[in-house]
Amino acid sequence: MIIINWSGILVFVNWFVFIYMLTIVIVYGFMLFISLLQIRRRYELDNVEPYEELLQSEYTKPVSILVPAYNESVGIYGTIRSLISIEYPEYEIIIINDGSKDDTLEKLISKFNLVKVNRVIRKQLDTKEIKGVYQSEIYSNLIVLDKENGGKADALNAGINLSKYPYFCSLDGDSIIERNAFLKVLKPIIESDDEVIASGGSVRIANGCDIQNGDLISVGLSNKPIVVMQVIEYLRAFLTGRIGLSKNNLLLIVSGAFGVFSKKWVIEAGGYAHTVGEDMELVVRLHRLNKEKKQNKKIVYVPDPVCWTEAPEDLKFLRRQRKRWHKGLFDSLWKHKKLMFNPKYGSIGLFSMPYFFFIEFLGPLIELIGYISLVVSIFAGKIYFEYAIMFFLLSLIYGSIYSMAAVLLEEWSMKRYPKVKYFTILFLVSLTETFWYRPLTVIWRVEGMVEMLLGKKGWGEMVRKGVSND
Amino acid sequence: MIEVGIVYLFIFFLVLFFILLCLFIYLMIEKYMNNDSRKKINELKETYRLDMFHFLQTGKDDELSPEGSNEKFIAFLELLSEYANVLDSMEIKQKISKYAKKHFTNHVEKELKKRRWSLRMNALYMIEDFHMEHLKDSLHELYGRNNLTIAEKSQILRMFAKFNDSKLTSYMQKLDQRLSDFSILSILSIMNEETFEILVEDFVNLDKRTQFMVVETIGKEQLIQYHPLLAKLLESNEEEMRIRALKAYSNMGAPIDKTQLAEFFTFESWQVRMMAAKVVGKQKLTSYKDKLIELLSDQEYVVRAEAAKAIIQFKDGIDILKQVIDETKDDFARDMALEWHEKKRVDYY
Repeated sequence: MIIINWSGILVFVNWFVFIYMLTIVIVYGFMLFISLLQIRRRYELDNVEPYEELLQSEYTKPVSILVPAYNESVGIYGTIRSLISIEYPEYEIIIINDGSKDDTLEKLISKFNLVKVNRVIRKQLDTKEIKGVYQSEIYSNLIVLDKENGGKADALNAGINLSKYPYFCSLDGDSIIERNAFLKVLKPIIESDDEVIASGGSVRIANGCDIQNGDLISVGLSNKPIVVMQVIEYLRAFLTGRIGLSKNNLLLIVSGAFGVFSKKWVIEAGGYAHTVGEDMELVVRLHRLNKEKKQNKKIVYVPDPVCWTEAPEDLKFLRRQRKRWHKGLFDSLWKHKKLMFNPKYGSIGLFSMPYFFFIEFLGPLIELIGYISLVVSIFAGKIYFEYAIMFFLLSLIYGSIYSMAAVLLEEWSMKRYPKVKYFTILFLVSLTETFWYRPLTVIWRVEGMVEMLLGKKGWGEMVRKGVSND
Repeated sequence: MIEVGIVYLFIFFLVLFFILLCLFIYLMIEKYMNNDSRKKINELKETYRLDMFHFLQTGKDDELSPEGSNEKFIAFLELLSEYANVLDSMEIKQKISKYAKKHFTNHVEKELKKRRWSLRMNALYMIEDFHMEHLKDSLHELYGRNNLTIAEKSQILRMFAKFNDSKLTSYMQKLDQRLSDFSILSILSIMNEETFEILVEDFVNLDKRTQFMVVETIGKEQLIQYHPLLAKLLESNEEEMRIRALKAYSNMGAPIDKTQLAEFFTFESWQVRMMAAKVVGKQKLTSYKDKLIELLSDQEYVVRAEAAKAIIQFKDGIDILKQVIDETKDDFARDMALEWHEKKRVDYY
């Protein structure tokens, strides 16, 4: 008879979780430290002067803005309004109606006086069939591409085919863009003479902000804890994680909500792929191509908040979103598993890939094991209780402490939340992260992993109510 | 052993927590004070907005001193900067410059020496906005420093160009390689004609990249007097140089040698063929009509597009395209002709 040594297993699990989490605490701490050194450098930099030259120069590269829209009837008008008034010398806006079932196209046709035009589409990427191209009679740089439904990646690829400028920007259907967002994000590209092939901006949460006609009037904070918690989460991800990674050209994510890419490179890499996390997958592929071609191109991240997006206010949709993100993360890593620990791919293979796999992807699973063993340990007697305390302390540092630090970092370097009240709420709510929000996201992400193992497909759509008052 | 671990971890946690809490309280108080002072600054700006405007109109600044409080100083600085951005007359510029020289010189010089990059940059932008030419010596000294970031370097060179500084040409001859094409172009386009001429006279001694940018500027700024240089560059052995010279021709009306141009239509490099088509279109050289029609069947999409775009520039462009649509056997040529025929209709290109 095999005797299972339960107490031995529990001790082993506890130690494993402990060492794993300690590693994460150190890695995050290190990234936070790099951010700290980097971010303050730009604090109080004039918001207008650095971009005036770009705005007035004829040499500023024009950009094609691609907005894939699938049943975005509610939010699309606001998005286009905010795009029409952006500060940039030359650009075109291409809305790709990806076979919407609602009245997205009709709404666009009537609001912007669209007329059908004949355009030769340079088919550099394969896409679903194009039904028609429309052009606005009011704004000659506004074009709508109507096509059969093929998913976000397919829509973006169709947009790339139609676009006429060397750089394109992918934008979510319901995002609000700050007026000088494009100047800020394209600045590193233009000033690097094409050394930078992709550049991403910071994304913030729009819920609670005053937005009118697609214009951000003032920054505010939602009164729902679930939204405030997401605000903190975004701050943490963008301000601490990405700055550190970007500095060393290790960035594997350029947010799908707002990123600018070199068209030439994206086409050479094969365009967007049909996967759950197409934005991350593309960036990994660009890195891969860069290394394979033995080039030294860069992918950068601009810490200035430039894009405001709607966050789910409902647990149901938040859960779906997180499951989807986690599947997307795995998809990208799996597709490019060849890079993992492969010295041929330099720091991307040796650091970025392992970081995203062992810390970002496996993290929730280990954390969940930690939570379970926490509960078991509490009931298993005094000896194990100590492990429980240890795990709890670590998760406090890993969750609450780092989130508090991110809120402080924002205040120290950007000050985008104008009222003392907002800052105080953000700080106090970040304290509570470990107690409710973190466990929830851990469970959702593990759920995503399980569904993936069971082969469950599905996108998990989000019902949008629109952030802009038309 | 584990108890010791817990104790250490707990202490570590408490220390972190305490530090963050202190930082929070500090930042909160700072925010409160900043908001308060921002409110005062905004009020002061409104109080003095009209007075400042009158001063810029009349030149009388008897009672318009930024001295007093820190808030008042910032309010005046911001007001002047706002006006500097919107008022463009020479006379007002001089008044702004004079006022800034009198009141803000010390402040700007102090800011230039700050450790934080953003503050130094802001100071440089102020010098530009307020035309503080008298600070040229400080800028020269700054430019000579080794630890200067490329953004600062580029901004300083821009100002030398703006102030027609005599040392600029010598700086341009040994440019920092980190400087981007965009920055070089920007500096060249601000330069006055005399300085630019000195640079062109020394063309062969410039580094390759600066040469390219000079050629580009000649085209963009339509500096027709340099057309002999462009004609010479068309014969260059270097393909990149030829493309850039053609591009410059396409941007300006300088006459181009017809026999020289004819050669370019059959060049192996598609960039050369495309630029040749562009020159024909921009200069409306109708004698190349047939060449353009041939290029409509080129294997490269961009060449076909440029050829169609060039044809549309001709008076009878629409008819030519119509004829191609009706007669050609090449599908690519027809598609392209169709698209540009349509574009002409909706005026989108």
